[in-house]
Amino acid sequence: MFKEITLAITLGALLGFGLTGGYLASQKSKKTIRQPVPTPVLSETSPEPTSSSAINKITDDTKVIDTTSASESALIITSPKNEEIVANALLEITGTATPNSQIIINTSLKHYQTTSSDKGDFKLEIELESGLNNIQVDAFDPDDNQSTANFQVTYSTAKI
Amino acid sequence: MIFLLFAMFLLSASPANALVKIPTLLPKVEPTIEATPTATPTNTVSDDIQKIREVVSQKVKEKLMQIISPTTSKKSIAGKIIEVTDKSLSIEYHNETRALQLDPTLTVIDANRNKSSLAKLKIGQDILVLGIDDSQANSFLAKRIIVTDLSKLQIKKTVTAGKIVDISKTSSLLTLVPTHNKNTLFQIRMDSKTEFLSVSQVKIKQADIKSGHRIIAILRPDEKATKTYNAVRLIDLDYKPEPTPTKK
Repeated sequence: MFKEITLAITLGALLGFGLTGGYLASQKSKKTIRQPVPTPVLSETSPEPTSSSAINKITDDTKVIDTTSASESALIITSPKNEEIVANALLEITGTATPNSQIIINTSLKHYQTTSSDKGDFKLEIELESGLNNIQVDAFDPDDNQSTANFQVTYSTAKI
Repeated sequence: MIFLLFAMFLLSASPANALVKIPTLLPKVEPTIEATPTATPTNTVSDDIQKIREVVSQKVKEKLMQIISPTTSKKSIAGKIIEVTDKSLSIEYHNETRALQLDPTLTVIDANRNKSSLAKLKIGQDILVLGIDDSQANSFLAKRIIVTDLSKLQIKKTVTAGKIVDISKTSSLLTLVPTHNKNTLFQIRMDSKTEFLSVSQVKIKQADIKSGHRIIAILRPDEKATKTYNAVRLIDLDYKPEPTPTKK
């Protein structure tokens, strides 16, 4: 009888320890699996996440994007290409400059004026003379900084 | 035996190795997700990744365009003849000599827009050549040659921005100091052909242009007087229309 009672107590104690141990082990493993991935913190002194500072961060880290170079503010003619031949007397000139720049387009005989958009884009239709046309585009930003682009376009209906 | 049973039980209690799950024995405890310490840097990192993706995508597109796009294109080049025979033609182009290939169907047009021939071309003449440019082979196949006076096509206008420092009351002259070259003075003559415009391209009067105003000036140099220019168009950057009085 004594042996049976001792065995029952021992079994009960072991079962109790087992259950407690099992519960604790399961809680630990659950925490390990479902723990949220910590969000990486860039640095203690990282600047306020404004868009410009974020871009500069990319520039500094990867040296891929150069948003602070003069190319952003300089005058770029996207169309037409230099020395292009066109078959239409009306030519649309498109390009980019500093936002809100005054754009002046000069040919040997005529001149045109427009303003670049808030994004810096501009588009202006000009009239070409037959044959070779020298075209000069001047952009004046709000601080009167001047950028100039010169190119040639030939207006010809001849089959080339 | 008891220890073996106990060990088996412990193993079964681990969900990763569970053979037999006994969830009813365990109290249901929802996992708590702790708040992330900083949310904004996550956006910066994802923005950075996005920017890098865009740059890589752009570079790939450029490379593909280089591979796909043809190396030949229709083009027009202008220059001075430095050598001409019945089979060859060389011009001075961007301060370099460029030998041109001649197409069998080559057409030559003289200064009066009449059909001409290669034999009539002379060294020193300005010509405009239309043809096919092969950038890879660095060759140009001339298909049409037009004798052109290039000096007549030059833009002889000057465009500058600056501040009006003086306006003559007796003559239509004003003095302009360029914004970024204060050591230079432009003497500008206005006449009946001069256009006066605001930034928004609204026509204004000559009287609206005042001393102290910033302007953009399209000028034509005066051939008789140096440092004097004839105003083609003056754009007043500081012009503000006077408010129209409203009736009470």
